[in-house]
Amino acid sequence: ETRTLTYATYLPQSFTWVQVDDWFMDEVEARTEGRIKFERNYGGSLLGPVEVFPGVSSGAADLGTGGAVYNTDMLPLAGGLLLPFVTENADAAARAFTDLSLSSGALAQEWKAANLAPSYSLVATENSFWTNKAIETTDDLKGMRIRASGGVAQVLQMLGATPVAMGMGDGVQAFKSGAIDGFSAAPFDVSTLVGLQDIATHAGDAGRLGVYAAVTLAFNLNTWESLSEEDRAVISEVAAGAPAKYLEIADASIAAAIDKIKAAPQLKIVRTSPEVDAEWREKTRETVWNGWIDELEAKGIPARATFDEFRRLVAEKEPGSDYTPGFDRMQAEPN
Amino acid sequence: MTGIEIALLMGAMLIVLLLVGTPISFALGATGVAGLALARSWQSVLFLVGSKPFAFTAELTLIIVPLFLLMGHLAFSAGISRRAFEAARAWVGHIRGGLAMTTILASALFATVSGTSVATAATIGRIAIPEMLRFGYRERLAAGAVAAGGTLGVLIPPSGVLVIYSIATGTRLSDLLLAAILPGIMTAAAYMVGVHLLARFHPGFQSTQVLPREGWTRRGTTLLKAWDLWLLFAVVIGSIYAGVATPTEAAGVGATMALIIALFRLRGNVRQLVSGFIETAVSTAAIFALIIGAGLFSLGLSATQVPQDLASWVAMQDVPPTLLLILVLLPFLFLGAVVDGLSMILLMMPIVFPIITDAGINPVLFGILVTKMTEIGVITPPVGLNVFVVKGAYPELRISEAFKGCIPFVVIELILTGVLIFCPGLVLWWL
Amino acid sequence: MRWIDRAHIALGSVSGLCILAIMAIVTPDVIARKTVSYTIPGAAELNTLLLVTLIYLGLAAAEAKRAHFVVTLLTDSLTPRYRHIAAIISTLVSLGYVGFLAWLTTLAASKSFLSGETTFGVVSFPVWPSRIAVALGLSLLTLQLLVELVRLLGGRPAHIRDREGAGQ
Ligand code: NA
Ligand code: NA
Repeated sequence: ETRTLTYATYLPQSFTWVQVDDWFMDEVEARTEGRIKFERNYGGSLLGPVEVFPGVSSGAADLGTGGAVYNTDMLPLAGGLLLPFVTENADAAARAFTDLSLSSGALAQEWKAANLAPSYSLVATENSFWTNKAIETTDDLKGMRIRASGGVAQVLQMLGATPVAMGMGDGVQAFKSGAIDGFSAAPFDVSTLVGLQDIATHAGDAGRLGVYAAVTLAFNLNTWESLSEEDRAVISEVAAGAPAKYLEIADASIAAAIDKIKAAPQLKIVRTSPEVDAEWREKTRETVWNGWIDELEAKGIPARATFDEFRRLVAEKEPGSDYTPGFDRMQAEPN
Repeated sequence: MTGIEIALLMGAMLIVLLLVGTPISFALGATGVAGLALARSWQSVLFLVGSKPFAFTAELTLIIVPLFLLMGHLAFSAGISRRAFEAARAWVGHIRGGLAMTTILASALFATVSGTSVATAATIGRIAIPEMLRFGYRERLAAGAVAAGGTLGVLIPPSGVLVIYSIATGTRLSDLLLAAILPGIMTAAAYMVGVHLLARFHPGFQSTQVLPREGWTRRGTTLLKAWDLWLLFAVVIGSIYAGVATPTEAAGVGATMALIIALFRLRGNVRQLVSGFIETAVSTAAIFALIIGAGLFSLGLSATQVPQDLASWVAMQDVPPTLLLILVLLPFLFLGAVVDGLSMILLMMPIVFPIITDAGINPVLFGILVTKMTEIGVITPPVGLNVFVVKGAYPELRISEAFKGCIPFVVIELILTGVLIFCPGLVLWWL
Repeated sequence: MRWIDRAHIALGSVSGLCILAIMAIVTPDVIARKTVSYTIPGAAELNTLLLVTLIYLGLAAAEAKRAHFVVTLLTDSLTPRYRHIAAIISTLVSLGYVGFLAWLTTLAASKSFLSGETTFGVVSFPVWPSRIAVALGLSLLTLQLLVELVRLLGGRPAHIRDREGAGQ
């Protein structure tokens, strides 16, 4: 007997995260020998960005990949945990996020209270800047209108830039026409997927804000509990392999991004000095971190302890990870 | 019930509801909800119906619709469009279909800044239709030219559809935009030739009046007198080109400019200004009711898995690439009659795209062809979004006449699609 | 014209005011951004809220002005008696559809209000006012369709959606 589970994501199938989901679903379908099949809905055709977790939670889909950042009322910890300046290692961050979600702490409780059973979290590659002038110092940011959101926007605002809220597609068109001076809150490899390397004159990872966005594949808790123990075991086993699969897919995606960047003749890569990076960090980090922590603590949510634990886990995973940030890797490669 | 049975039931229900005179938006929405209720769990229905009416409308870029509609209304009531068409009349009035050809040219020009066909049709509609009717043009020619001219908004870059296609498939946006230029220009040119031939030879489209040729003095003075339209277009188009504003913002600035001009021109005729705002609000609501209904319909239909199964079936046929390409485009064409283009791309691309690339069909070419299919969808009944936008801009219009007016343009589109399929060099020449 | 129609056309004026408000935000925002690199905080979020409000308050006004698009292919050729029956069927279906939406969006709005749903962007902006606008607009439209249905069942003739919904 086959049970068809409905999967939904707001992300298009071309994104690396969705490729991991496809691999996950293919594996589960194969290893449950036809007991479980997935009806796959990509690109928001069933649930949009804001709808994935509320929709999966209420049973509109059985599982889905979404960003908790869109539902901070429902998932305040998961939605804010990935603050700038925590790490540049997407692989370590993904593993830490997944472990913390599956542990017994406050983050795990939060998923449960939202009627969700997370399987794995993936973290976007590190933040990058795509601009129409070089950003070498914090002064260069003054007056620049840059597409950004969340923690990245906060950092930019504190340093004197004007963050502008826009979706990917609109942002690209606005940048192309010159209505904005730059594009950020953009993961390294995703940026080349939307063609920023063909529009910008300068690119880099100024300030080294690191990774800042996570997505999670979660099941509806009732659906999850209704599955047989055997099937749950298979799903958990496959999910445990997701971080390694993501590293493999992300690696290829970063390599493809580097090729595209190298093929863009007008594009200059700007690397900021460690001193400048430190200045970005010192001017903004504590305020951004504490701002988020205090806001949640005031509501009785143990944000500080969760955040500290998250950073500890990240630090634990970093040494064993093969991940190299895109621009670092590009610089290290022979031309 | 199987998916196919539900889909057939939905089709029957939609036809019956439309025939008894249910507003199209409600008929589509009710059918979509019924399809959802049959094909998905009750929890799904509760969540989706509670959430989608908000999600379909809470999208910043959509403010472009009421803003351009208002700009058109104000330009009309302040007489801006009247003076502009006096100029157009003086220059091309003696050519058969000249004013409709000018309308298409204006649409093409506007399309270089607008990324959607709705915005293009909304802006041009109110300005052009009453003027063409005043000069004895047939309703169907006037409406067809504006509705079809609006589709240029998508094909001539920038283009919202191409951005979605690019993101959904990972095809380079710059390649797509570059590739769209020539087909966009070809479409505009073919429309203009089509209009001229229709106005000359087709009894249903011929003008009731023959306008005299005007002298150069009159041509010059009318051109100067239409300064406020030039100013309006210069501000809207100029601010986007100069990188001052996004299209959404330019729409806001354009509407504000039109309001200022109207305040001067209408001196104290507040009633007319107020009615412009209300009419725009009402038209906007009617257009969005349709977008919401079509969105729910599309959710219901995709829940039956019929479009996806159809695409998979087509893709499995062992046929030469060109035939495969045509077969893959067909569902887009048929579904385009009821479902909007962006939903279709999001729904079908995951199934169709791998097969297209496996067959060695160029993804850029495919993107342009899919865009053409979505263009056709907005001018075909029963859900021809552009036709309704034009009606929203000019409420006196008869929808049946407008759809009749679109038929020749659909034919032109199909011919052009065939030309692009068999001469892909027209799309890919620069590669 | 009936009181309810009048009330809804008054709502249409509020809806029109929303457009004016959007213009009053967008234009200074563009100018300020270009001249002094200043962006009005929350302008994008506020404009989205205004758009949703303008659409949903406008829905009832559109019904009052018979501006929703219809196909009159068949109804034009019906006798008054059958046209009346067709109007009852179509109003009933519309009422069912819009009422169902009104009910569920009201639930969604109250949930959003209670949980304090906010947008994700440069600033956090409350989402519940937009959701309330959706629910309110749909509820008013439900009320209006209900009045229409009662009127039809009482034997009064259908509003003619003349010229395919041109109305007015
Ligand atoms: Na365009
Ligand atoms: Na259509």
